[in-house]
Amino acid sequence: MAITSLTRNSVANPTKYTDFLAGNSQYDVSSMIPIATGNFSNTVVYGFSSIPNTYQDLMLVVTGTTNLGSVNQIIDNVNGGISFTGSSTILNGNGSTATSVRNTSMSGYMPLTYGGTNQLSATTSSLIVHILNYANTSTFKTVLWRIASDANGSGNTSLGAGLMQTTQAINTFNVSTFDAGRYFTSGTCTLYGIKAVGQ
Amino acid sequence: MSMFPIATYTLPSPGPITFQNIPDTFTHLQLRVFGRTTASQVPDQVFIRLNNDTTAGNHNWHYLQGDGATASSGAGISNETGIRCQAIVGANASANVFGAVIIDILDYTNTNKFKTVKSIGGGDNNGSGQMGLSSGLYRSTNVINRIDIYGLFLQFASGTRADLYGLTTSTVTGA
Repeated sequence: MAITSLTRNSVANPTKYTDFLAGNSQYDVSSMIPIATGNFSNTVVYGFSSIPNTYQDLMLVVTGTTNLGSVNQIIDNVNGGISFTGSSTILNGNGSTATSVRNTSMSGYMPLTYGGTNQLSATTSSLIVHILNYANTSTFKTVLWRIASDANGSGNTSLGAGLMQTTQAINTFNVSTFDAGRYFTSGTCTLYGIKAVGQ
Repeated sequence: MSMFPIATYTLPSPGPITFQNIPDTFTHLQLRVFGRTTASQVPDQVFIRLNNDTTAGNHNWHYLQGDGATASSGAGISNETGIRCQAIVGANASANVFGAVIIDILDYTNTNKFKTVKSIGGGDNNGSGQMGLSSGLYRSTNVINRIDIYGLFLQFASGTRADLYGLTTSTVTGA
């Protein structure tokens, strides 16, 4: 049956429809879409697979704790373990000193931390990672991230920019601890897709 | 809070990027730039100018950055006409390497206050590159309806992409 009339009472959001008739654009769909979320405990790795290629960017939000006060994290197992060169530039503050360090030519992984500079502490830490243009098959993948880890007298806050030298669209990746004997004791992670106009 | 795409633009040839006629129906704006410039160096800087305002001193900024060896901090001079929003890569970066900057412009429609800008960004070139965070102030109570984005030294290269988003604080879609 064809719709012959549209009344104010038949619209789910009459205020929005009235505003639309007045000439104002309306925006229906948020561009930050949760793709996957989960909790983890006593693990050296957590990850995501079957990531759709229908977004512009990815954003990962994590809060968690580690078993020791110095745990390095990396992004690895990209697309199931493809070969690529990873590197990163990091800016870190520990409450008394600001430093900048660099990781270069890492085979098959991209470091989020550096040695004894911006590792996670054993109290709850937060990590936000942006992977921009993750599905673009003409460019390498640029990653921006922030790590915050305060323990009332110790801890770090850091910012990083990284490069994964692969033009593949990313559909799988892990966040892993790097050193033996280090693991995530507990945490929550959520992966979001960020849409652009037209997606 | 919800985030909505307003506009996106990918440069077909070298140049700056401009968003104008920005709707005033959101609470905050977020700009995401993914690109590189034509400057013959590895790090370059992304600048924004708000409302095409070239009044000297109306744009202020500070930054904290790292280049893989040194952490440094600085600020704009007194007659700035744009806000520095952090590093991107230039023409001397390897092929297929792009930098990225995420810029937040808070409370952009509030006519009772100056506008605050914060950003993070950087580019890594496997042995070179730079990244950091910046804060900026646009000394105007006008609603922001235009953003010009440009590199410090030269233009953005073709393929550089910018996405503008509006953020709301209402549970109702739209502002």
